[in-house]
Amino acid sequence: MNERASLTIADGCATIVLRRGESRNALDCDTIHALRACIDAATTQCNHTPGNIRSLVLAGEGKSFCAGMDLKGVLHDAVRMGDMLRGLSLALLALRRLPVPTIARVQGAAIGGGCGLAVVCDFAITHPEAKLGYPEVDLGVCPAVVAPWLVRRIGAGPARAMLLAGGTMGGEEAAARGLVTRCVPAADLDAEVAALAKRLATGGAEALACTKRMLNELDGSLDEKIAADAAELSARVIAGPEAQASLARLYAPKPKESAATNPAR
Amino acid sequence: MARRFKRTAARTRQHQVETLGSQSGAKFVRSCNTRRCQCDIAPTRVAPVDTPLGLCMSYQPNLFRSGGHGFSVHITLRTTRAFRAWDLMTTDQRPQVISQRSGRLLTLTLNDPHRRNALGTALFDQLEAALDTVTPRVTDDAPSVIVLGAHGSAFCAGFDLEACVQDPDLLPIFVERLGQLTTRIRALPAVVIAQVQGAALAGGCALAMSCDIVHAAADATFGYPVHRIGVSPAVNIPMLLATAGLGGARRIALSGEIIQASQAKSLGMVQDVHADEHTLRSAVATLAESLCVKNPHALRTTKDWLNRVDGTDPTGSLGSAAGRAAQATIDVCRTTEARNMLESFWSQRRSRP
Repeated sequence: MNERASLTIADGCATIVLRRGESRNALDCDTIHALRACIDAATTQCNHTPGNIRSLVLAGEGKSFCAGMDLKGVLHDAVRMGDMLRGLSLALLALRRLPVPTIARVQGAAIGGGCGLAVVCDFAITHPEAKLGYPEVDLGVCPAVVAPWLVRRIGAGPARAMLLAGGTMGGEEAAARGLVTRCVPAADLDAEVAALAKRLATGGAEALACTKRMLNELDGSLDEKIAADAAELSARVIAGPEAQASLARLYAPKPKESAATNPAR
Repeated sequence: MARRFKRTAARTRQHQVETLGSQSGAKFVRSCNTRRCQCDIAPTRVAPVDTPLGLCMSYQPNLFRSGGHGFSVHITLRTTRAFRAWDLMTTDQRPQVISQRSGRLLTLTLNDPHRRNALGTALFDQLEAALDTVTPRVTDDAPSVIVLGAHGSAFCAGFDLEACVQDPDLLPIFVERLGQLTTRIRALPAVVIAQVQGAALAGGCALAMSCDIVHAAADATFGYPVHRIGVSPAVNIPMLLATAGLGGARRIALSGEIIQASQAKSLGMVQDVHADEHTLRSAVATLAESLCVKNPHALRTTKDWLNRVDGTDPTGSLGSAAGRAAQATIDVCRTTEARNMLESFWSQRRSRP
C-alpha cells in the first residue's frame, strides 16, 4: 500500500488513514491516488469476501483531518490540475459507493476538499475546536466538486447559503448545520468513532449494503456525469486569471507555515 | 453638528430610527420602524424617499416641520425639495420598488407598506425594471450581490387581491409574471439575499424562495395559504422543492399552513433567524458586505453550479418544470370556483372591522 494513505482491517472494521500529516493531509496528486487505491482495495474486499469489512473509518494522521486540496504543484499545469480534480471527484464517488457504512473521524481541520471527504461519508464525528467549511469562493475558486455532496447532505437551501458565503465554522456549528453527524469533546473522539464503527459492524452486512445502495440511488449519488462535469468546471475556474492570482498569493512562500496549510478548491 | 444630531436621535428613540452616515454635510435618518412606532406620528406619514442624493430616507413631516427637533438644520435644500415632491405624490405615483446601488451591492426595497407590499402590476413592472440593470455578463462594476428587502410590517403578503377581484383576468397574468420573475431571480448572475420581516406569504413566499439566501426576523411567517381562495401554489413548487425538500414542500404546499421563521429554518427554507428587524438588517448588511468583496466570477460560477446540482437551472428537473407548474396554476385560476372563492374571500375580508 502507498505511503500517503493506508488501509487496515481489524475485527470487521476497516480504517483508511491519510498519511501526509506534515502538510495537514492536504490532497496532492499522490495522496488522492493513494486514497483512491485504498478505497478500491476496500471495495474489492467487500465484493470478494462479503462480511470481512462491515464498517469503514476515514481518518487523517496528525493534527488535522484534511486541509483541502494542495494545488501548489499543479497551479500552472492545467492538464495535471484537471486530472487531480477528476481524481478527487471520482474518489469521492467511489467512497460513497462503498457497500459498507463509512465514518469520517474529523480532527483539527476539514476544509474545502477535506470537508468534502467528511461530508461524503455516511457519518462524520468531530470535536468543538475543529474547523470545517468551504472557503473556496473567498479564493475566487468554485467548490463544484464538493457541492453536489453537500446538497445531498444538508439540502439545497442551506448548501446554497454555506457555499456562497464561504468561510469556515467550528465543530459545534458544523453539527448544528448538519455538516457532521456529531460533535464530541476532543478527548472522546477516538472512543466515539470506535464505538460507532463497532455498532455498525454488528448490523447485517447485506442489509446495510442494500440500504446504502438504495439511498445512493435515491439522492442521485451515482450520477457520474455530474461528478465529471464538476471537476471540469472547477478546473476551468482555477485556470482563470483571478483564481490564479489569488492562489499564487496564497501559495507564495511564507516565513513559517507550510503553504499547504491553507486550503484551496 | 454630530453632537446635535445625536441628541436628536436620542429624542426620537421611540421611533427606533436608524441613522445613516453623513453625506454632503447632511445627516440622514434612514428608516423608522413604523410598525412599532408608538408616537403620535402615524405610520402613514413615514415615507421612504429616493432623494436626489441617491439616498433612501424616512420622512417624518411632523418632526421635520416642527423644527424644534433639529432635523431641519441638517437637511439640505435639495432634500427638502425631494420631501415636498414626495408629499405631493399620490400613493400610486410613489415608487413601489426602491433601487439603490452601492458598488457591487444592489438593494431592492419593496415600498408599498400600506398594502403590505402586495404584488400588483406596478410592483411587478418596477421589480422587473430594477432587475434589468443586472446584466447577464459579469463585469467589474456590475452588481454581484442583491439584497431584496421591504419597507413596512410585511415582506410581501402575496398578490394584490383587490386588483384581482376588480379584474379577474389579472390573476392568471400575475401568476405567469411571478413564475417568470422567480425563475429570473434564480438565474441572475448575482447572489440574491432575501431580508424578510413579517409576512412572506403566497407570492411573497415564492419571491423569498427564489433567492439564494434567506434571512428572516423572528416575526417572519412563510407559507402558501392560497387554497382558501381556490388557487394552487403549484407555480412555486419547483423552487420550494429545492429549498424545503420533498417532505417539507409537500407539507407546506398541501396544508396551506403559515409557519414561523424558526420552523421555516428547520425545513431549510430560511438560513438564519434574527431576534428583530434591526438585527436582521445589520446581519444582512454584514453578509452582503462580505459577499461583495468576493470574486464575482467565483460567486456566479458557484451559483450556476448549485442551480445545476439542485435542478433549478432551466434544463434541470425542477427548472424545466417551471413552465408546466405556472400553466397548471393559471388553469386553476381561470376556473369559476377560483373566481367565486376569491370574491367571497375578499368580501369577507373587507367586511372585517
